[in-house]
Amino acid sequence: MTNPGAHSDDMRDRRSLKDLRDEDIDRLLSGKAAGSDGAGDLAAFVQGVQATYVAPPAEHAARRHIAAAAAAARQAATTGADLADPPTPLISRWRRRTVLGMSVATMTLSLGAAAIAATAATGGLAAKGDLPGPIQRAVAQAASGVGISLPSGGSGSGSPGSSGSHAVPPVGTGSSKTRAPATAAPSASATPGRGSHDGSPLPGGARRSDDSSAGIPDGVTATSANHGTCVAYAEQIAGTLGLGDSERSTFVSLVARDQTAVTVPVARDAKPDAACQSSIDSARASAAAHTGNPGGVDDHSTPGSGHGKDVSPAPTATPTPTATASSPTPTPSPSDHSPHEGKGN
Amino acid sequence: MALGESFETVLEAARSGADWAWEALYRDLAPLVHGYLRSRGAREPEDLTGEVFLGVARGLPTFTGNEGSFRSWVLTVTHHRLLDERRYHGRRPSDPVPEEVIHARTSTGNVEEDALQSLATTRIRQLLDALSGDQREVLMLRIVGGLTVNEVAGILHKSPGAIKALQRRGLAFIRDIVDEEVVPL
Repeated sequence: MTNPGAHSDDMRDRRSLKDLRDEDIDRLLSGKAAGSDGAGDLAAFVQGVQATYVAPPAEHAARRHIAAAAAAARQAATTGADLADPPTPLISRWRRRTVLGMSVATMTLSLGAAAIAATAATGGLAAKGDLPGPIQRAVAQAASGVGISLPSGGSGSGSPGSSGSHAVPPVGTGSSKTRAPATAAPSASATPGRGSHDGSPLPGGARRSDDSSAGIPDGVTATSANHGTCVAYAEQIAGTLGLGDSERSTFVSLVARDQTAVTVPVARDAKPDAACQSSIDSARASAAAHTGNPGGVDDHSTPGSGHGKDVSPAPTATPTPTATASSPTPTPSPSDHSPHEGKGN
Repeated sequence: MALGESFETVLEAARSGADWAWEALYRDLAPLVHGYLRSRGAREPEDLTGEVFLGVARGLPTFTGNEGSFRSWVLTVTHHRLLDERRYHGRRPSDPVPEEVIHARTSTGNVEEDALQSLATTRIRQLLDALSGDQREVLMLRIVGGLTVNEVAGILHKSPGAIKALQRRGLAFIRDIVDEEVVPL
């Protein structure tokens, strides 16, 4: 019976029921039109549709529906809530769950990202001492509780050489074993990521020891002696020991490897604690002993000679002619880029 | 309008959850709801009818209007439930056996009557299938749901003029088919 071609507008418009007014059609569709109205065929159709489809559900289903509707109405009346959407088991629950779940997840991610960004920004500013005075003091006080010293904001500035460096960097060599805990002073950040983060053998050494002329900056709270402070001190004074670039790096690395080298923060021209001074002296001697051996203990121009791996008091690496003590920009070792690489691994 | 003057009383009692009131509303409107769902090809018209009345019961505290408005609102809920079901089955296609086939195979009444009824049902269904979707929607809401042009226009979000045009074209098309055939309805 279904004829796809019969859907054409031509056929539909062939007879547009011009003999029937709107009122006639209303009467026809309500099942009140008589066959004598000139629409007997359509009246039969309407009656056939009503007879075919207009029927109540089965009695047992009707009983169930009535009871459920009455109960829902009572519940809606007592709660006073508009529960216009029934708990449709087919679609709505799944759609709501999905949409709501996505909303919650998106919101959580947004809040998390905002919190991380705020923490990072605050931490960076706090490390640099750039926060407003009272806030800086509060942050410094809180950080000191966990062994981290930050500028207290008294002078309103941090270490001259600490700009752009890590707030709490791992000291030195990229070896997990040689990584110091938190540094006690921002000056310790003069050795951020040495050999592990920026790949430069003397990223802060030559640069920061030159830049850092004041030693312990104003506002640094001297708390307890620790290894990072000693390493930072060693790096500060490395430029004054008459060592070449490679030897300076070796010197600092040796101090960094000596976990017994601890001191409280001291100015560059002051004396550190005995343990630190002892380590500095021995490291200086070792570094000086290798003068003329540019491919030695800390030769970053030799591929594979990772900073953390190759530093030893008795290096055996082969000298490389291209890497001399005066070489200002030796090629970083590939291993320098891995913070987990080192002899401890 | 089966309830007439008692509609307000029944509605108020239904709001408070009186069983007798829901019985009256259900007996009046369930044949239209169930019929409309069947005529529009709902997969499970009985279950869907129950869901429609649940939705009506939950939304009743916010309803205001007379019996005609109530009937129109119930059919609107029905229409939306039908669309929900179609979307659901659109994502999970299945091929259920038509309700008429099941009834034809399970009927235990008079064989001749059953046969004639089955033929009439098949014929009506064929005529409706020949209409466009919009024409079928309008005619079913008007014939089975008993709604006015304006009420149908509100449910389908069309203008009354568009509804009139659709029903007129649909009926004209039905007349064309019937006239071309020798066997009358």
